[in-house]
Amino acid sequence: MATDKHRLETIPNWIFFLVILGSMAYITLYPLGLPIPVTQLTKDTYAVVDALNEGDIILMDHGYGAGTIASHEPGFVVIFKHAMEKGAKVIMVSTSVESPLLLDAAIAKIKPEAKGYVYGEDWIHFGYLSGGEAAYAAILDDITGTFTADYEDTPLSQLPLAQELGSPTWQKIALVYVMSAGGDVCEGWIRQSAVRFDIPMIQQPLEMMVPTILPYYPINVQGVLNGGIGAAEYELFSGFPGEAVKLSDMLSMGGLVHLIFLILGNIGFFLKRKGGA
Amino acid sequence: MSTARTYKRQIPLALTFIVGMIITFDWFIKWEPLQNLTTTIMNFQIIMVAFMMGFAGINLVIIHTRRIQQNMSDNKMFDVLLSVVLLGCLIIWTIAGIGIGRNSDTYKWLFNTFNQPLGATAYAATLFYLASATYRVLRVRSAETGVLLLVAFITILGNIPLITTYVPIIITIRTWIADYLVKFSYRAITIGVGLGGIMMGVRTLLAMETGYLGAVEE
Repeated sequence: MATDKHRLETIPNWIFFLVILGSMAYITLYPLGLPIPVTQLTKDTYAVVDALNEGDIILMDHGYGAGTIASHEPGFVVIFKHAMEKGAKVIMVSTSVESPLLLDAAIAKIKPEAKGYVYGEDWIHFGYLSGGEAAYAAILDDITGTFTADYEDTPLSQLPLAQELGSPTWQKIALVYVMSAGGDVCEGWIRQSAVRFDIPMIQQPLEMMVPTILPYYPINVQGVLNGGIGAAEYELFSGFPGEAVKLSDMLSMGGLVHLIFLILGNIGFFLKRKGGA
Repeated sequence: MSTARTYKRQIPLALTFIVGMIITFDWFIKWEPLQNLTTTIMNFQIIMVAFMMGFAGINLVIIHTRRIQQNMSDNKMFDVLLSVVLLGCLIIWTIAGIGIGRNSDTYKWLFNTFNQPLGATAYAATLFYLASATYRVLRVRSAETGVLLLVAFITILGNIPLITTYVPIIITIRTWIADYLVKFSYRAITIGVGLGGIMMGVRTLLAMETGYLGAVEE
């Protein structure tokens, strides 16, 4: 009997992984359409984007990698759609090496051209820039001095929106939107943008990184999107349902199974202690 | 004072002081020539970082070439294979990126076929192990670990839409934890780190902190 109690707190990894994988696969194949409550963080994020006026320029740090697509891409897609709805212009930079190559897939979901958005006039992708916090500062000081061409190597002189930016760039930016898995990226943008120039800012870190951004909310960061869950809430709240809503069932199931294992582990631990093992 | 010492110590210290003062003043004084100078310095740093990445690539080639030679003499053929794969990928990606172009279909195909699935797999695998680690570590061994487990439970519950829909109080509790425990404790840490950073910055500007120069002969 004592061995059975021990088993509860020493379930092999392969069983643990198999149960999580199986349950998430099942819910993906047979979605339940579980409800999603919208939190205040998401409502605040929505309000910041909704306050944009036609012609306002939003600077996006498209800074996620292949590993965090599920957490970041849906939020990027829905906020871009919302910005288009408001008639805002979008300029994008990438502080992650991988992210420029992930943009095509996201843009295919956004379909800016369907809203009449013209590349170079209404939105631009400048591409990757190394240098960390110094790069964020340089972008905000003079983006046309920092980049000479966009990601597709089109000279900035041929892109009207780039000409509109000029120097100092920060004066033309109405909102900064940072999506990144790196805490240093999120905090670096806060220091260089929100603290230095008081530009409104929204951020979409990974779920596990949200607590590190909360100290800056709502003073420096006016909206925080809680990773993939936040994106699902935003999709529902803004009326642009997308991939995050579909993924939320999976998040619910994964979280529940994880919790059940935590409880089982502790039951096993208590039984073992009670039995004096 | 020898010429070598001047080159190795005094010039870097003087450069650090000048650049540091320019960047510091730019934060407080809005004067266009100063802003232009700061932008130039920032751009210089961006170029330096890009150069460092290239340098890191060359360093990687040197290290793994040596490692292949060493492992071949030690007959560790699996380690040799790993290094060969790494160097092979580095060469293929470099040729594709510089030779064919980063916007070419070939480069995008390489990225979409290899990098993207491998990156997603590595990240997902990490999360599986993270979940497994919490299952094995989070035990109520004492009052402190009990509190830790409770907070972990509430945080996980708060991230499950199914739970927060039917038990909305979880959101209230989680928000309270975030507002009154996380926010203020993290703010205190951040302020402490910030003050430490200022002290370190001042010491560096005044040449009292010279560790970044590396080993310099006295």
